[in-house]
Amino acid sequence: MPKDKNDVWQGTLALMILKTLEGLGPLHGYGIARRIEQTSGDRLAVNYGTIYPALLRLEQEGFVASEWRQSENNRRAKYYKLTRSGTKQLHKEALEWNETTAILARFFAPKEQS
Amino acid sequence: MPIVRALFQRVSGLFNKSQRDRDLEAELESHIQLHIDDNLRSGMTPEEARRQALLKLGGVESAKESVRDRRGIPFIETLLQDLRYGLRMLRKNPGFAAAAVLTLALGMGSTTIIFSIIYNGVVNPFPYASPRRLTTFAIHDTREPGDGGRVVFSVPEYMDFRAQNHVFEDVIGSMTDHVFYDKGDGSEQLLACYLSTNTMDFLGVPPLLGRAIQDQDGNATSAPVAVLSHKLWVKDFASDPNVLGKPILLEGTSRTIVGVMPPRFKFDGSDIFIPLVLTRSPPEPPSANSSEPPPHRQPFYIWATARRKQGITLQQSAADLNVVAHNISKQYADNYPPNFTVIPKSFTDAIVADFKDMLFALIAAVAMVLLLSCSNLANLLFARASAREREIALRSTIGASRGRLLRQLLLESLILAVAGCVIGSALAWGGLQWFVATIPAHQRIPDEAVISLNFPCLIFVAVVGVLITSLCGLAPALHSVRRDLFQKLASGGRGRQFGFGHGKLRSILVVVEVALALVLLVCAGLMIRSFYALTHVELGFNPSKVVAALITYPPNRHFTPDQNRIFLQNVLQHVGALPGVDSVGVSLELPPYGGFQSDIDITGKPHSEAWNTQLDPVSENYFQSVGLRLLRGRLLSLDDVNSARLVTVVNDSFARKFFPNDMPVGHLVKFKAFDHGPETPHDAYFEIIGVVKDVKNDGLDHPPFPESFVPFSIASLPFAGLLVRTNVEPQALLANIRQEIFAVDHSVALGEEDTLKNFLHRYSYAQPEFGLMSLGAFASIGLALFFLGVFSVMAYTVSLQTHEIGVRMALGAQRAAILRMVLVRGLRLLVAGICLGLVGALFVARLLQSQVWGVSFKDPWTFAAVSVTVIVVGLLACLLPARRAATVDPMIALRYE
Repeated sequence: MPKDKNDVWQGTLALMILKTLEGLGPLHGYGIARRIEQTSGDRLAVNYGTIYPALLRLEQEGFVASEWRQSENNRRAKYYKLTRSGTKQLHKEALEWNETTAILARFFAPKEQS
Repeated sequence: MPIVRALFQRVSGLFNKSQRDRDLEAELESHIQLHIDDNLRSGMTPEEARRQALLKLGGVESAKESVRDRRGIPFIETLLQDLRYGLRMLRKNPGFAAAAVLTLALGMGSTTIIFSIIYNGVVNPFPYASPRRLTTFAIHDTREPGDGGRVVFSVPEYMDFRAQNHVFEDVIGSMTDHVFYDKGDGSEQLLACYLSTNTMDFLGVPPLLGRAIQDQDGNATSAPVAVLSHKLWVKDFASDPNVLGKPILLEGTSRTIVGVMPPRFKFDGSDIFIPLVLTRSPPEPPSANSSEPPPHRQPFYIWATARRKQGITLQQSAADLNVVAHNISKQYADNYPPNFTVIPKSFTDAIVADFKDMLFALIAAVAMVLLLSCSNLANLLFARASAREREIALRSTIGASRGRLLRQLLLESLILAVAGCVIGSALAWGGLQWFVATIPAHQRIPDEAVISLNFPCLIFVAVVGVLITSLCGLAPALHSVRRDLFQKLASGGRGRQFGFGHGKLRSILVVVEVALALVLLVCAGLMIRSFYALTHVELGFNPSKVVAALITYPPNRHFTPDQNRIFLQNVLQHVGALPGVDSVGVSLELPPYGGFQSDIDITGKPHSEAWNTQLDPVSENYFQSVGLRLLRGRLLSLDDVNSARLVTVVNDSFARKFFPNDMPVGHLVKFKAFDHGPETPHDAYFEIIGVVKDVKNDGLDHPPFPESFVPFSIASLPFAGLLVRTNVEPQALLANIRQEIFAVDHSVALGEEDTLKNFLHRYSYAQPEFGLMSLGAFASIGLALFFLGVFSVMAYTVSLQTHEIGVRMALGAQRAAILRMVLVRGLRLLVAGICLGLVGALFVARLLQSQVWGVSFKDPWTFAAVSVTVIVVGLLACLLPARRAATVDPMIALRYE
């Protein structure tokens, strides 16, 4: 079971990363993790370390690209940015996600008379 | 698409590792710094800031680990790691690796070779349609032993069988005969196969060129046609694609070539195929005077071959054929014994019967080699696994998972298996080439068979090899993994209790190996003895420096005995005048066979049973040419030949059999065979003028038969054998002799021209030699495997005992005593194996009974010699480990732990 849970987490994490990058533009791993935590209202308290395998996977799939850059407070950091296929993927997954949640919402909604 | 891309990225992630590692390190470092900066900004102390950052990251190493797993393909990475480790382990132990690989390769190679030969030669040799249902049948006289009988049928009989049976799809008739082929610039004898017109369709092999023989060719009025075999087409027509429609002059009849058969169509080994014209009316006897032979000749007897209907067994066909045969036997009473039964046989069986026993012996041999290699392999792997128990226990305690350990061991076995399979395949391929080259050229395996590597078999054996290796490699591994690790480590892994009591298992395997090797060697030994007996049989004549040739006359020539004498004497003179020729003689047959058989009567000697002799018409110089020594009386003279005098020289067997108490010289003998010939002396009595020494005249493996030599001039021969004794290398004279014969008459055909030695080799020694070579090869492989097996086990046992030996020596044991201890242990195993092997050998040697000659299959000398060989080789294999044991330095041995 833990493996499955991880898979779900990895999948949604990827979507969160893509969304974050879309909203904020190029960002380093720490920044992305921080941002996800904030956006979730600190309800997602995960190890920041888990962001890196997810980033590597997205990079392998060609949805993000990375480069070393100077950070705002003058530290070198690896910045990730959305690629064109990443943008497309984001829209596609966002649609799917909406679909899925809509379907699930119907299941959990109070019974209607039919 | 992204998935493919990711996979590609991950595969490339397997390489350039250190750079990626540095990059990751830097990224995580910057992550922590950024986090610390933030934390400092929110007012933490530097220590607290760092601690919180690391805590939130979840540990640098675990982050790295999870990225690394994602970067490459972890499974492949560890696999590569295991592979490298496995190879390193094998390199560290080259002796073990070599022994295991060699064992597997030998077993695999020999199994594949033999299976290929048996499959292509016996199971599925023919290119014909549904070959398994092809059947021949014999009329077996129930008074006779065995299951043989008449397999040829008169044409009406054949027609009746064809029409009245209910079990065959169809029946074909065929017969082979030598035909005289006039090439225009010389003549040659060909082996022709006369076929019923349904044959080619029946056999289902389409012609390479033109058309097959068809029903329209079988009428008395049909134009004479012929279909060429591939062999003849290549040899005499230079593979000319325009050969169709050309005439070919056979037996004086011009036939039109209408087709060429493919290479594998060699029905009865023939050169050419001619349609049979079959009618119920009996064939007319050939008229002596007509110079034009009839274009369609009807044979007296033909072979019948049938195909059983789908689902009909041999037994079922026997029942039906018996009904038919008993039905028609009244009609052809002459052809049937009073009590008979019809015995059908599968076509393959009928053709390869001779060779079958040999092949079964070879199957037994190869099974033994395979068993030997398997037990060797098992032994090696078991020994090795127990030697590595400590290593495995150690790796397990420092955290290797069971699956990982098993995979590691499996991989090592697989490396061995793959190496063994590659070498084994090469061995199978090369070995088969060699084997095919040694198979005797004629009749032992059907002509149609093409022996090639059987790939399904190769793959099957490879899979079996891999499975055996994996299982043997894994079984101990499983065991090691399951064992109590601490106990293992605590005992030092070298103590008494190595593994799962397979000290005993190993001993059993060695005993079995000894037994198998012994069986193989006994078979090879019997073949060697038999071959020696056969090649050293007293021929009675000297075959070296003798050239033999068979002269055949054209069919339309008719010689009176006198014309025949003049012609042959002319040939003798010409050939005799060649430089290097000592003497030249004529006879009907070539040694070690005599002439034709004849019943005899001797005046003054009434006898109730039939007396018979071989009858050989010869020239006066025949005796010198063969080297026949005169015992009593005189030999034939030129005068006897010239005046066709009724005199005869008999051999010693003749004299001893018919004249046990008196001298044969001066007696009169009548050869009944002459009574029926058209131009032979009827009712004539020949005076015995001399007795010569016996020579082999009934094949090498039978004692001499009574034989009588008469002047060849008393009858007109259909053909003549020429025997030329030379005082130079006979091979060199072959062309000259040929030239001289053709100088006398260009229209005769020559056959079998070769040295007598080659002739003997071809007809008498080739098959035993084949058996000798193949069994010998297997026995050598078996002996090598046996040596390897005993050596590896003894070496391993000694290495396990190093500690014990050290203690013994520290307590004062002599080196000689240690040496003896090891040797005696080896000897015990050897003796047990030999006892087992002798019993097995008796059973297997029985298979060889029909193949060995001049020696009993229970030959005590062979059994004794082989047992001694096995003991000597086995002790040699023990000696090296024993010496190592004896030279153990007690100090080192005790510190060894």
